[in-house]
Amino acid sequence: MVLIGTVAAGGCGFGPGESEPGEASLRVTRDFGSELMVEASLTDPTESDSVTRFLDENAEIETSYGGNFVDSIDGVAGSTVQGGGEDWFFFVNGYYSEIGAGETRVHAGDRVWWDYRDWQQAYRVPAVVGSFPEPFLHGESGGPAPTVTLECVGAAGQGDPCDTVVGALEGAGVDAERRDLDEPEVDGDSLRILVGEWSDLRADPAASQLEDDPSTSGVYATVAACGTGGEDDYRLDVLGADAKPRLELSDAGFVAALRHREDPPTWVVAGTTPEAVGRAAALVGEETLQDRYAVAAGPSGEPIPMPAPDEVAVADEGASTCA
Amino acid sequence: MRLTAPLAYAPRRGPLGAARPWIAAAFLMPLAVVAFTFANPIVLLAAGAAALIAGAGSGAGASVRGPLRWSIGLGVMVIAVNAIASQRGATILWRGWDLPVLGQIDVSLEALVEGAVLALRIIVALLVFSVWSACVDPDRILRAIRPIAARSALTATLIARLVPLAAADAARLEEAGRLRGPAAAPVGKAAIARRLVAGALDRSVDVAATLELRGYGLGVRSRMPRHRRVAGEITLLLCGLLSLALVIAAAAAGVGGFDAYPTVAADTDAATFALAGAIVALSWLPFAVESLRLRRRPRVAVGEAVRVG
Repeated sequence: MVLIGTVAAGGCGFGPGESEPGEASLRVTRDFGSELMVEASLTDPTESDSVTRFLDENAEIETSYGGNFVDSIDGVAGSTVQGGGEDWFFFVNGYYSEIGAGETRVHAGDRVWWDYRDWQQAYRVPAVVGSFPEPFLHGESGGPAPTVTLECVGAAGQGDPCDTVVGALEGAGVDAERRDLDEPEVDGDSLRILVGEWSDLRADPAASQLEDDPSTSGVYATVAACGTGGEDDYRLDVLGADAKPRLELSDAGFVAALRHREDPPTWVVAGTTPEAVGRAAALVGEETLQDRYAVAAGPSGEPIPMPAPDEVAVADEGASTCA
Repeated sequence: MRLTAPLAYAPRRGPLGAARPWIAAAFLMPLAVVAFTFANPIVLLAAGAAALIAGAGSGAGASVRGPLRWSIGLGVMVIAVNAIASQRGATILWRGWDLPVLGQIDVSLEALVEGAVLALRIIVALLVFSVWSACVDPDRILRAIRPIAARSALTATLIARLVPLAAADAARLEEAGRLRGPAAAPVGKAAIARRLVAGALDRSVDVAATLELRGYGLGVRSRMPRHRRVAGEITLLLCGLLSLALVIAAAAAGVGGFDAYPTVAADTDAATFALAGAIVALSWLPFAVESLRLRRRPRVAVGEAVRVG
C-alpha cells in the first residue's frame, strides 16, 4: 500500500496520464526561420507528451541519448551526424530550452518551434520573437501565468508607439500592465516589453547586451554609437548568420528578445531615432514576427529579418550611414 | 562435471566441421551480417534459426545451448534498460517519475519492442559466434592466418587452446576439493583461482617446450600438409555466397524494413518472408545434401570378403 501511495503521489501511473484541454502547435523551420518544413498541432496534450514525441509524430527524426537529442529531422542532419556548424535547436513559447526535448513536456497552448541554423557565431539564443504572442500568453511552458509589464520609456516611447504595441497585445489576448517611465525599471519576476528610443533604453541590463556581439546577446544585430558627436546618434548594424554586418542603418526600428541572466525575457521595441520607434512598434504582430529571431525596419518600414538573409551583401566597412 | 569450456572447439561431423575456415566463414558470415544490418524480427529470427540449424547439423547443439541461455539473459537486461532510457514511443504503458539526470521515466510499448529487437540482434550474433567457435578448428585458422600474421595467429590459437584447458583444470580442482569428504571446508573460488594462476606458469613452460620441439622460432619453414577437399565444401561455399548476395541485395532494396518509432512498423510482405525463408533454406541445404550423400554411400557388411585381383 505504501508503494502504491508513493507511486500515485509521485504522479506515476499506467497509460499516458491526464490530458490538458487545449492545443499545442509545432513549427519546424530551417535557416533562422526562413524556410518552413513542418507545421502541426497537438490537441489535448497528455502528461506523457514531450517535445520529442510531438515532433516524432509529425516528422521523420533520428535521435540519440534515448530521444533527448534530435540529430536529424526529415533528413536534415545536424553536426553530430555530418559535422559542420549547423544543428537543430528548439524553443517553447519563445524560450530557448535548456533541457533535452525528451524531458520537455508539452502543455496546452505551447508553441514549439524547431529551427535548423548555423550556431558558430551564437550558440545560445536565449529568447526569440518568432512565437508571438508567446511568451506573453502562457509564459514559460508549464510555469505560472506570466505577469507582463509594458514599459513605455521616454518621450519617444510614450504616445503613439506605445499605443500601437498595446493594441497589438490586446488583439492577441495579452493582458499587460502599461507603465510610462523616464527610464527602464528592472523587474526579475515579470516579462517586460520596453518601448522607446535606444538612447533611453540602453541603460537597461537586458537591452544593453545589444551593444555586444551575438555570442553575448543572442541577437544578430548590434547597436553602435555613430560617433558623429551627437550623444543620441546610434546606428543599427543588421548582421548575417556569419555575424558580419549586412546593413548599417542610422534610422531603424527593431524588435528583439533578450534575457539578462535567468530573468524572464525582455523584449526591446526600439528605434535609433524617435521616428523609428513608431516603425518598430508597427512590427509587433504575429504575421510579421512569426519564425523570426528578431526583426528590424529601415526608413521604408519593410520588415528586415535578423539575421539578414545570405543574399544581402556584406556592408562596406568604410561606408557609414550615420548622418 | 564439465571438463570443457562451453565454447570449446571439438571435432564435429558434417560439412561445417570439416570445411576450411574461410569456407566456414563464408557460410556463417551472412548470418552475422543480418544481425548487424537488419532490425526486422522476421529476418532476425530466420538468421537465428539458420545458426541453430548449422549448429545442430554439426552436432554442436550442446555447445550452442549455453551461449543461447546467456544471451537471452543479456537480452532481458537490454529490453529493461532500453525501456527506461528511451524517451520515444507514442504508446505509453507506464508513466514514471521525473528523476535527476535520467529525466522523465516513461515506458512505451515502442521502446520495449526496440529493446526486444536489439536483444534479438545480440542473440543472433552470439549464436553465430558460438557455432563458429564450436565447429571451426582453431589450428586450421592458425594455418590459414599464419602467412599474413604469424605471431598474432599463434597467440590467438594458444589462447583458444589454453582457455578450455584452464576451465578443465578448474573443474578438476573443484572435483578434487569435493573428494576431501563432506567434513572438509568448501574450497572457495579465490583459492582455485590462485592455484590456476600458479599452474599457468607451469603450463606456459610446457607449451613453450612443445613449440620448440615442433620447430617454432627456428626460422625453418615447415611444409604444410596439402588440404584434401572435403565433400560438402562446395555446397557450403555456394550457399554462403548466395546468402550473402541475397542479404546485401535485400538491404539495398529496403526489404525487411523496421521502425520502432513513433509506432512500430515492420515489413511483413512477401519479399520479407521470402528473404527469411531463403536464409533458413540456404543454411539447411548443405546439411541436407550431406545427409543425402551419406545415405547413398554403398555399405559394406561386416565379414563380407573383398575380392582382390
